[in-house]
Amino acid sequence: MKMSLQNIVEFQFTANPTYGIQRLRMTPKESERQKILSWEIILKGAKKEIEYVDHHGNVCVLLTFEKDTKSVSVLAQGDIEINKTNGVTNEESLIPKWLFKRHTELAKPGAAIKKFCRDFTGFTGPDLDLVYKVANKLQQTLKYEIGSTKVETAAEEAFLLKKGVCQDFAHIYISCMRLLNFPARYVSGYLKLNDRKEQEATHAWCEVYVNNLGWVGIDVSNNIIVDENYVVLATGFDYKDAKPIHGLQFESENSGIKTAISIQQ
Amino acid sequence: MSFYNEMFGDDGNARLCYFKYLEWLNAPEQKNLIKRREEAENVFRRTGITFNVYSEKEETEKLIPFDLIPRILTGDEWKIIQRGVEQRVKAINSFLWDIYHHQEIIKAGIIPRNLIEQNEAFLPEMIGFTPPSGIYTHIAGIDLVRTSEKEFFVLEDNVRTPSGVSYMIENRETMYNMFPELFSKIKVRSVTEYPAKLLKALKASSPQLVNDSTVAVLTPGMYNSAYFEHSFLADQMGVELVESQDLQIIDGRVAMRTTQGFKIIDVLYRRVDDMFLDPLSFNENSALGVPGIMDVYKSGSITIANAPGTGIADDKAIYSYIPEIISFYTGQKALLKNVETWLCGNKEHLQYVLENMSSLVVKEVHGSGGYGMLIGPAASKQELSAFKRKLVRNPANYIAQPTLSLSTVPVLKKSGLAPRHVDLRPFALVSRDNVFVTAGGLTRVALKKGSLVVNSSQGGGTKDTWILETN
Repeated sequence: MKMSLQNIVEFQFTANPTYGIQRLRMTPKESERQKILSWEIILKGAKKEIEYVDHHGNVCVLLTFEKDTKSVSVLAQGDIEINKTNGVTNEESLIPKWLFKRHTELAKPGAAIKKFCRDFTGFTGPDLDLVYKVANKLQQTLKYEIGSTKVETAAEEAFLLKKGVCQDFAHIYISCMRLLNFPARYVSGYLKLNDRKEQEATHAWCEVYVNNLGWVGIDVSNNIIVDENYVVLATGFDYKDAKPIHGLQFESENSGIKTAISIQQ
Repeated sequence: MSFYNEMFGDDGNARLCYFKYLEWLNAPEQKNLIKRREEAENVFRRTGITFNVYSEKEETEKLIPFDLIPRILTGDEWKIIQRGVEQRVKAINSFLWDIYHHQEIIKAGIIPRNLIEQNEAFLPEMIGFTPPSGIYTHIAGIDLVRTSEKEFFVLEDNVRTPSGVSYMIENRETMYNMFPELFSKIKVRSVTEYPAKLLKALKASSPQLVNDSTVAVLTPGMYNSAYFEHSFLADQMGVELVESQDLQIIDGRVAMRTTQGFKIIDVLYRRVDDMFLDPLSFNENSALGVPGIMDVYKSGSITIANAPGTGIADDKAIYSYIPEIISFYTGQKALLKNVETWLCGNKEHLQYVLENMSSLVVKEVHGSGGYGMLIGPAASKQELSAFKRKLVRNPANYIAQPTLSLSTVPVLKKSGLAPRHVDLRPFALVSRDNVFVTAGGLTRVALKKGSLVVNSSQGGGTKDTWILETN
């Protein structure tokens, strides 16, 4: 399936920054599941410094902006093709799978998550069944509620609240799957909702590695296996190294971020 | 326990390499040598060689005591050390490349995966990336102890940010100034070319293929315990000493503010720890690093020396595998021996350590500076049982080693010469095709009688280290 994507992000600064720097992961990640036909990133109020591919295979763009910049806008757009792979993807990477079992700050299990996982430790069926089972159970347990958590909320905290947004669902699920001895990673990207052209926000989900199969994409927030409507921007150990925009502004405050995403088939 | 005295044999006669020195020392003119100690102290105060001792209560600046009696090694003894250090440093670089690429050494079952998996010094950001020159540890300091005439053991590898080289140079300068006649009488190999060699090695690792690469030294600032050394080395190399606020990303490169505007840096000799190097990649609250420097690094436009992530090789648990690391990558047997090490994370090892603690030295895996360690033979019953409790709570955090019979070299006391235990930290510089080991190093000496702890933070001092031209 071919898609045209456009994502505009605008930052407004209240106090004048002395300097700013941002790392963008806003170019879809190439894999056997998705191919980039054309892609560009256009900046206003900022300068592109470097483009490189990080250890996860994400295309990173480093941008800076100067003193007294009032606003910065980033436009990422292009055409991609998504292959039907039943939610499974593979790519060449030197990161050993076991490293994806290491708990990370945002996806660290606490007592509550550990207790939740105890129901699954004795599971003897196929790995893939367990992958779905945990996702199902989580979806029944957690409530999707915008504004209930913050970007820095970690897995255990959100799990105790029993609610959160896609980022929290992803962290909780990663945390569980790692506890159950699966390599798991965080995915940030877009989900094309078929009833509309203008999309609400960037989305987040997970990939779990199943032996002899590959990375299986699971979206716990919607409880479905990732299909052709999902566009992967970046993958990482957790939100921290997969977020689309990672920035630092000095002596300034963000007064607002406006995002507009449009996806067309 | 008997100790190898490097100056005098068991029969009380001086060893050959100290003959000429003792001839000078025993001359009537040197009768009041002890009084000249103050003179040396004044030299150090003038140059500003001090270090900070971190304690729970306060930070104090103090002078590391300098002992006027040099430690002398023959050319032959040095060869053992030099070859051993070279071999070790090469193997460590091969290990680092492998561990950040295909991890053949884990696949071969030589290093257990969990030593890497649970290690905070292992940086995923370095996976699949090769530093501009292929070198990870440009500067290495290997801590050695001597137990007999020909036996040297490696106590510790320092491949993140080894310090102490400024003392090696300043100790020599002080000796030159105070006793110029000694150096015409005895041919000692020079150490003063170290800064020039360091600059050359750093420039040779530049990502640019030009000759006039720009090098700078990054310091956390004047409150750092090794600030003197940072400014000393920058000064000696004739390069800029920079701090976080002097640096910025410009045109995809790291640039420093100078009086003539921004200047691009090709090679950054950083004395800032990994976790503080880049707030965009690591500790986001760090004010000591350069936001975006990892991005510049990964695009191949700057050399960071030593490379981020080298700490995985000088961890005390990995240390115990260095002989296997050497044979895996070089096919050779390790020339310098390791001290037998028990990893307390291993159940059988832990059992042994708990049963034999009073004869062992127990250290924290990530500890340094002699902090948080236990010397079994010197510990009281209470200290032993308190340490046991700590150990059992987090065994993987500790290693244990036998108490070694460190060699002694006399220090100068009012009553005359008195033997004290020493170690040696030689410094190696790694370039694309060779490893240069400075003929000398930092000799640290425990000033308390019978003490085996040489760390300056624990009251140790230093000596000038002489490698003789003759064998």
